Amino acid sequence: MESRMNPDDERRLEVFFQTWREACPGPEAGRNFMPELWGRIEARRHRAAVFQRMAASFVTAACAVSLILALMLAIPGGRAPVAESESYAEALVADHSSEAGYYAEPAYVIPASEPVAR
Amino acid sequence: MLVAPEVVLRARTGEEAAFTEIVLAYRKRVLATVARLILRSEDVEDVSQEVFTRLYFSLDQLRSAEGFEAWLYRLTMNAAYDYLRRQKRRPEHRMADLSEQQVTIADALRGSRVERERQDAAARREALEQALAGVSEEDRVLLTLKEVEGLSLKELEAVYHVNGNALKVRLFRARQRVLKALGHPGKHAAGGTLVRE
Repeated sequence: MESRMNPDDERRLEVFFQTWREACPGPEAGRNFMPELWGRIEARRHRAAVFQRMAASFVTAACAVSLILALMLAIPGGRAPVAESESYAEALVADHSSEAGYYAEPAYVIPASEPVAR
Repeated sequence: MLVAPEVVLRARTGEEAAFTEIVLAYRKRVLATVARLILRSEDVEDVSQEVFTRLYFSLDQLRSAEGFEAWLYRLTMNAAYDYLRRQKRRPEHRMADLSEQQVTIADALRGSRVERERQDAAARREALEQALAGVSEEDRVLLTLKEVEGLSLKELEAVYHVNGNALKVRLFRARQRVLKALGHPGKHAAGGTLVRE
């Protein structure tokens, strides 16, 4: 398969490409080309090493924290006491507050917006 | 290849002397390709150094020494793409944009014949760049490699990992777009024709 163009267009393109070639002759490398190149490579190596160390530290810290949390959960007695469920009535009985002769009536919740009768 | 395959294999293991040998052998070619791709002489060394830096850190990905030149062209292409895209985002200052006073000052600074020749070459590159401003980076890179650097279709297949027919179609379209950018949209056959041999 071959693409065919108008011969005039082909000629114009060829002139254009020739101009392009001549406008950019291969430049010579400067004296500092190699030292600067090694400088770049070293800088990139250094950045990669710093990043690797940071990543390794982060991973180590994450493992240590996970281990500590796991130990805290595993050790018996280390757990927070579970609150016993107890009804209000049972708590009153346990308190023997009714024997003190205080006036008692069923407790009910007063909404915060309503004024308290005194 | 400009270096023996075992030099590439040694460089792949991290041997610095082998890598230096590769750089010295291919430096001129990379500088020439980059110069034609980016058309900015002041940035050619910088982009070329970037190409070799990327080569240094990617050599271990090279499967065999035979693919080395195509790999290097690929890295050159990508570094040029990155540069051209960055340039598009930055506003540029051309002679055509300067005020009359600035042009007068610039002209007054022209001195010797050497300086005039240098400035003439810079003006030709600027004109070329203006002509290529309407061309995409992909077309520019492809045409540089094929029409300016003179790579064969087979070499381009190795660089692009695309078969020859697909490359021919891409080249044809890129040439049409360049013609359009040069300001002659109607002179070529409408749409062009793909002729089977």
